[in-house]
Amino acid sequence: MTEPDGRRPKLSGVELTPELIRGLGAVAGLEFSTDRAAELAVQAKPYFSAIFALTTLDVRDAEPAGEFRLDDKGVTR
Amino acid sequence: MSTIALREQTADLPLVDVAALLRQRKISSIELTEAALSRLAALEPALNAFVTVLADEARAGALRADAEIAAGNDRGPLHGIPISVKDLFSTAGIRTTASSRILAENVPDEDATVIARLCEAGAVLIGKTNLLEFAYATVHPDYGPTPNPWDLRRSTSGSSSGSAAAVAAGIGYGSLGSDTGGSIRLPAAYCGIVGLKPTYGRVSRHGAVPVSWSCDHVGPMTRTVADTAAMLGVIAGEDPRDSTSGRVPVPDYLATLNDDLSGYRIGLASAYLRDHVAPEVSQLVEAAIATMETMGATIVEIALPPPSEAVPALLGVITPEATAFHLAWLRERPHDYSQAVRERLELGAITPAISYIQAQRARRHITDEMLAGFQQVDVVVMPTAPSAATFLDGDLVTSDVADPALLAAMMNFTGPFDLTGFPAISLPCGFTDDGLPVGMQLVARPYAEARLLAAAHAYEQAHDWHRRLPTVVTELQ
Repeated sequence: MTEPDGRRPKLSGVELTPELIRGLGAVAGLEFSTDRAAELAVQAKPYFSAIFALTTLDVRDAEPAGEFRLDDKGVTR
Repeated sequence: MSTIALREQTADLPLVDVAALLRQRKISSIELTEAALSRLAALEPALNAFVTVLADEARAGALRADAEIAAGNDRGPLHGIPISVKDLFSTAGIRTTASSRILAENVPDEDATVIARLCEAGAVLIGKTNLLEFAYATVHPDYGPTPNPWDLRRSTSGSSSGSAAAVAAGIGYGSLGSDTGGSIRLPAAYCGIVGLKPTYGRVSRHGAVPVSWSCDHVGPMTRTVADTAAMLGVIAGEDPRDSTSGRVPVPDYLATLNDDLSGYRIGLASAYLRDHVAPEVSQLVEAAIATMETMGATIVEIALPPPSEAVPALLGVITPEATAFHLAWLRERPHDYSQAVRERLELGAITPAISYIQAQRARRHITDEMLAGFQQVDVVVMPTAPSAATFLDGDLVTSDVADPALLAAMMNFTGPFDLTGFPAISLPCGFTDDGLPVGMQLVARPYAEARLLAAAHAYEQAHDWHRRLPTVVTELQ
């Protein structure tokens, strides 16, 4: 189903502070020290800038490329 | 005037040529193997191309192959041929490190599917080659970089660094690499050899340490296109142990090679020709395109989704997938990673799920647009890398610098086809004024490897680029 244009996620504009990075890391089970989170914030900016730019692509009619298939696992008898 | 040294010694001949000599009993597998091991012993101190050398196993395999061939049991074009494999393919009873501290003592119980197929075909495994740590971002200090055989001060790129250096230097007749952002094609271009990333699903990934399950590709690295065709014919095909393996018949790739480009429609896409490319690379690729036109090909201008869309989508897919594989080690042993790999894995851990899913949607969208662009042509031509081999000091790929923007620029021409899964081959198209090889990339529609290889082979016959010897070998002679 096509989603309304206005519902495209707006991920840009988030400030990647060391505190935010520590919080996101904790969700994944990783403990970043304050210094480590500050170092990572520097690397994170160009990375997130690149992938957040994808939101400018019009992908309303595109399903994710990942596939889950069971057509060769079913019982055929 | 300096004389250009060409490949003439047995160790430097193409795989298919020595395979023919083996069948004619003009040479034996043990002689080929001893020559490869001798070359390895002479050059390994300079190249650092191998993590594990399998000299005893190789000699035993070669003697077995000689006995089988003598008895009339011919297993095909790789029978008795010494080759190497990147050290991320599982080998039963043989250490498989992925050039990492994490897996330094890892000894698998079973072979990767591609290793089993190479062994079944009678190939002689001489060793396992060095790579960027986990085929991801940079060199681990425990293993060190693999310098370029054309200039030891320069990089081989990566991640299949040792495989490219070994093949270029005549240490075995081919190698097996893997490619998630360009890891077969970039080192092939830097080292003046041929590297093929097949269609996603064409070659099994089972038993290869993953970077990204949905973007990893396994493929051959050799000195000629025909050699690549011979290796692909052995490793390609459906594998029930790889859920993404394609159920597409494997053609005889060697049989469809010829020297003719008439009837070929060669696509050029402006976004993939000159942007961020060194002028001498552009000039050599344009000269190659002109050569193909004189050989009968028709040049067609086409539009493709640009690298500026495809590479971020690729990063948005592979970064969190890589972290998902590494998460337990990242929690328990973060200091065992190199700094750059750890950083990239940590970035994957903090990537929101919605970003990953949007990247997968962008992937579908870009793939559909790419398929539409390829409707009009057989192959698309472009540079493989933005430049010839860079100096090791400060190199984007092999140094401890992990600037994501610079790394993305390095993958401009290779990454889009890891994202979309289209088959792509890099082959030499000339040399810079400094004597460094330059790679040209040909890309085709999914599962059109036969057409792709035929075009690459035809172009290859027009020059002797593939026969030139790297400096590290000429200095031996």
